[in-house]
Amino acid sequence: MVYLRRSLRLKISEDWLSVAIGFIIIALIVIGAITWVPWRFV
Amino acid sequence: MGSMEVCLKLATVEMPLRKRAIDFILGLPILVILSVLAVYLSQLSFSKTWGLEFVLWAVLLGLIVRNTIGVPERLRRAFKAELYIKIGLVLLGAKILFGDLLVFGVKGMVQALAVVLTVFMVAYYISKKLGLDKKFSHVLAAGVSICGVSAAIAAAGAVKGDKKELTYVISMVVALAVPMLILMPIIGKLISLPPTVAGAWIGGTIDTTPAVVASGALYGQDALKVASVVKMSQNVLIGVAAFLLAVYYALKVEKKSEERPSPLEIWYRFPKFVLGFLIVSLLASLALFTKSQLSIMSTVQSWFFTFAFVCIGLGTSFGEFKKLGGKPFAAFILAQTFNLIFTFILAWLLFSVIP
Repeated sequence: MVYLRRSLRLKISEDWLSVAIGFIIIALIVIGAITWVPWRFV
Repeated sequence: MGSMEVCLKLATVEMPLRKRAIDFILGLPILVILSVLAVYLSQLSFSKTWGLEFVLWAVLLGLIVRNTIGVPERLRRAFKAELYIKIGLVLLGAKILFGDLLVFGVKGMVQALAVVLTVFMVAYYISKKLGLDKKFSHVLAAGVSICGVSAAIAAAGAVKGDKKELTYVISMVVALAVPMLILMPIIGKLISLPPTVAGAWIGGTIDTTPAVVASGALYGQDALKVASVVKMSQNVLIGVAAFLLAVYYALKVEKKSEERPSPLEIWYRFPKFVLGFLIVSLLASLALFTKSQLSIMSTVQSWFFTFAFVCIGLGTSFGEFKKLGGKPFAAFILAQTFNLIFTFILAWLLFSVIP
């Protein structure tokens, strides 16, 4: 059960981490700190 | 997330943050180099002629490295397919208008509910018929019907399942993700499925979220959007299913009414990145981003997806296939075949017949 509880705790922190990183990237793009990214995907 | 990664993750908890960060930073260049190589190869003329897109190259390069030279275990801490795909999905929110999201989301939720309920019961029935015990059957049914690894872990927690059986279900989910992510778009294109139907079919059938996004991307941008929304609708149901299973086990199987599970379980297991995705979609729908900002977001999102696709390959060992076999594997394949047919019919009805 410890195994499962730990997996759940890790999953929750990874979920919030992904939201935080996503928002930081968007904020950096909006304030103009990121103005160019290599390669355009088609 | 492979069974190896699950073990790695658990070992990670005990390790100091500094050491984990160093391992992560050391592993990251491997990921970046393979991703850049995948994008470069996809832009060569022979790739364009043969339709070898960056998705395929990314998975293929990851598979080749993992199954030939291999990667030291500690460096694998940088190979976090789930994390990269979730960051990419939060950014993908900017590409999907909130109105479209509601339409796809409602249809996706209807599909997810029907698929989860029906496939869960069929998978459970097949597993029991093949002689698997009750707990194993529940974990396997959750893995096939809801959302692969996360659902299997949630179900195993709810029914207090065996760790070995859980690892086995995770191995099957991970091993079958790669063939399914490549074959489903090929089948869809052979029978000329509309992108929305193909997306809903892919999103409702493939078990792991990174593989759903990879398969959707292989079909095209519209299929990718629908597949992602349908998969997220299904992810949202994990908490509900885990809670109901836990209640069923506490009250009916173990008959311990004092150990009644908390409804908070639903919130604990709610995929929080979906909230980020919804907020970004809402902001984009309010026209808060300029065209050039949206273009940069789209490129960053594609890079995160590419990282995740490389991680799918890096996380798939051909050795895992050798472990598969016996009754659990037969039950998994039969249940997954039913899932493919049932979800196809539902996706067709909801995303093509009903306006």
